[in-house]
Amino acid sequence: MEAYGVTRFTKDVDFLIASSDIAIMSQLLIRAGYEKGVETSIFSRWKHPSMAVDDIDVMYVKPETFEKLLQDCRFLKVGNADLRVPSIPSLISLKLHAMKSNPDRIDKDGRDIADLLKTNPGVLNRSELEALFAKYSCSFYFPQFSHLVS
Amino acid sequence: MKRPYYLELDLPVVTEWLPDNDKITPEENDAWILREQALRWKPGEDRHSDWPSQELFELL
Repeated sequence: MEAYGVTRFTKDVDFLIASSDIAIMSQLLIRAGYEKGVETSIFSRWKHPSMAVDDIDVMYVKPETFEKLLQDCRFLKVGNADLRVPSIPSLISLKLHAMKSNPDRIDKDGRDIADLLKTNPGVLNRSELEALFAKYSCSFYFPQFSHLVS
Repeated sequence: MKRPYYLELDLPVVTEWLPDNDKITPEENDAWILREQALRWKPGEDRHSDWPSQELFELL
């Protein structure tokens, strides 16, 4: 979100990786002092002994999906690291997917989508955004966002 | 016309979410601050730093 000019309070950092990279990610995080907290088939949460260091949540996707997400990613410099951030349409896809999977997330993810669209006008037109909402079975919510695109 | 890639993403079906982040009570927060402070440099201690010990404070 920060890569696109949207700042929000959050207690963790979210990463998305190809499922083929789970082992190497685990090695890196353990070397950095993190410990694995919870893990499901598609998520893991990593905690650091120092509370001054944020938790890391990781989502696993298929390698071919990860490749698609890299197509038009943006680079965000954080310290010495160049982080790859999914494009705005990809981020909105991920958030719509989350909303579809868990209606409890509608408030939070819906607000993020609205903020992304407000801060980055013109990144998607009305028909493109409508198609995204339809793809993730969220057409019901589209009218709440349609005024943010032209 | 080719559909944009973001309409073709194959995202995993989510059946189980990570739990919400732990809520920290004020008491836990205070305990954490005390613990972190105990681990950090205190005035008069050798910080093994090239900076003269007062210099940083003079800059403030």
